[in-house]
Amino acid sequence: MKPSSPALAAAAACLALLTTACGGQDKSEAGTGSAEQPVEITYWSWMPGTKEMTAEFNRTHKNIKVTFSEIPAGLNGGYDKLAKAVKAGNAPDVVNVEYQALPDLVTQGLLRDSTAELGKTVEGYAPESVRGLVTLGGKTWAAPYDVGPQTLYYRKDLFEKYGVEVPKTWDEFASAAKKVKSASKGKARILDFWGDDVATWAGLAQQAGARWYGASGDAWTVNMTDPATRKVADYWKVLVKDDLVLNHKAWSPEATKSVTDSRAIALIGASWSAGGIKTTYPKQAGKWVEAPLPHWGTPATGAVGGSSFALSKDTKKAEAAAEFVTWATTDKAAVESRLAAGTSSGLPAAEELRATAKESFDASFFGGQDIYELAGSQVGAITEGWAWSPVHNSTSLTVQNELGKAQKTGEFWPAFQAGQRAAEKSITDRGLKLAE
Amino acid sequence: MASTRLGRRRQAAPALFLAPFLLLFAATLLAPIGYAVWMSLFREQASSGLGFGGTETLFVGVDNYLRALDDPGFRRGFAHIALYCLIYIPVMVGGALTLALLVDSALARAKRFFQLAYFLPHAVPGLIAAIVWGFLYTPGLSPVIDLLSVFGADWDLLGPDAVVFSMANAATWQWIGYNVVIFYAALQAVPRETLEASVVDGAGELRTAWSVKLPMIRSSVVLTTLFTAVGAIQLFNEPEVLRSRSSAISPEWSPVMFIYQAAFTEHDYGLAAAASLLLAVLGAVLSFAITRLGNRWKEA
Repeated sequence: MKPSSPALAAAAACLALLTTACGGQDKSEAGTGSAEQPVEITYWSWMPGTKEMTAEFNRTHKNIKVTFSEIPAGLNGGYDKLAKAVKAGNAPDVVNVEYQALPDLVTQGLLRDSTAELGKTVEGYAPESVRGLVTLGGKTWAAPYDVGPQTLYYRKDLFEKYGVEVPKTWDEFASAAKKVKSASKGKARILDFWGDDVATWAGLAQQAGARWYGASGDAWTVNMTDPATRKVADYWKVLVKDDLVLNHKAWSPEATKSVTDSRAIALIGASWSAGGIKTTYPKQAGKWVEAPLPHWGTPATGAVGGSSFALSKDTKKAEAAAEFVTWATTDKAAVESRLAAGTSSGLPAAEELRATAKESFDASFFGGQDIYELAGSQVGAITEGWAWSPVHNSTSLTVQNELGKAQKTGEFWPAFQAGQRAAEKSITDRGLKLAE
Repeated sequence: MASTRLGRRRQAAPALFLAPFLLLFAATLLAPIGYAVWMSLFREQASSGLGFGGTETLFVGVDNYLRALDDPGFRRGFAHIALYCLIYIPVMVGGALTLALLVDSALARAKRFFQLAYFLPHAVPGLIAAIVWGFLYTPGLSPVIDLLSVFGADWDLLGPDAVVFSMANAATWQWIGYNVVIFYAALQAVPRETLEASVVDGAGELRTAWSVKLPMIRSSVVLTTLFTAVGAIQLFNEPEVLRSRSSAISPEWSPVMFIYQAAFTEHDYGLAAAASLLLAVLGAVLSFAITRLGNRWKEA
């Protein structure tokens, strides 16, 4: 009895079918199309307002038709989906990438060097602080959409009630923290710090002058344990240890609750946080105000988050894709349609678009404050020269876990030492070169 | 002539009946395992110092296996799992057995209700259960912790000492009903005459449960222990969800979490494949050991 041979043959045939089904189509379409023969491009994103923006593009452009698919947010599966799609040969033509993830995706070989298609455009509109983030090894890999200067959001009504001025420096912030605690009879704290949020720390460290990553020749440098980061870690240690700020996990229900209950009366965020605060705390409408982040003596801030538009590695329609990307990052209609959805408050990297953005975003939640003017004024204060690295995504997991351990003690410093070690290990593990 | 035709038919019939199984088995199990073995022999490396030139794939032989075994994070994962099993398996098997025997006892009332009530948690998807338990463990949100603190107990259920117990508790809640059903079904198959005989011999409920029922459902107990152990070494849902609430759980806390990180944040598919196969081998060894021990117990 030989039952195995026919079954094996059938299995082999089945496998062959499966593998051929995986091979993608290989149809090359150059140019930017025409009304009769539009070029069809695909676009993956999770950014708020994207669907509305794409619809507007398709309405006003006859030569290119964009098909938008929503994917999970970057690190929650979006980048992984992209990596698999590139391997399988069915990646979209255009994808959104956060600045901090860009070097990771570039070194994985998922994106196209778009210097030829987008280089000039990007140079034309993007401020240095974000242009640096999309230019790697002298090439342009993406077009910046927004820029996220770190800012302070505070409850105007409660600052007045507790008799606190809006702090301009971190020294003033520390005194204000004491005052809020005593004036509220211990009921409220000035801030819920989100001490395990690596993005917040990166912004604070950048403001203080740290440069966690850099390129030196053909090698990466990692410097998470520099004096600037140390200064920031020591500062927050005191505030947490002395119970002058709350310190809940970032984005956690407890953190939301402390703001809802008015036990935390300020938040450290970025330009794009305004949309989130508005939708999370609708009952506190009219009470919030955005202000520049306190500084260390001379006005400066860091940048947090922000996204760009990139072309995927094997796109056959780079020209059309670049036309769409240019529109999405520099055209007024793109910003209008995106922000009209009301969920996004991203500050466009292109300065000319900020007036349009202001008109499109309903700022009544912030008492009619011109939050775009405020955030826009902070773009120039972003300290220059910050860079991300290909290993930041994995490093930040380690740092986040270690920061969480300091929730009550405020002993944040060891987290950065662990981050330094993790980043160095990841760099060598991936075959990259670590500067001596 | 007739005999050869019959012989051919005899050959073809089993092949035909086996083909659907073998096809699916090959396509969904053998092929992926083969692919994992293949992947585990390669390593993707940046092709330049800064890495902007993309990656190249190198054949590295068993290097990925050595790297996995050498990784303290991976090894710690097994220590965590061992501790977890030490708590979880006895509680789970012992608990399920006790509940099943209670429901099966001649004194039990409302048997249908209890069967359903025990099984109900299993109808909740594992991820959702983990999220709900996450809330129940979080101070400030959890009514349980609030209640405890009223009595002056300041318990940190997500702290480094308690978190393994918290996880085992969530998993037990989820799976105990499932195992109760298996045990209860086995108990139903115990011949009533045997039970009557034990009553006639003067055995009470406890004595019957311990000396008659339990030995008769040995094979279910062994099977359940096996499934529980194999499930436990693949622990992922509970720690991955609780990780967002507890800093006592590192991103590589369990072996499967290590594999997940290696593949999806480090993009080190070779290492992930090698670690997966090592875990599979451990699972196989564990299954073998439990079955052997179980057989000895059955024969005893």
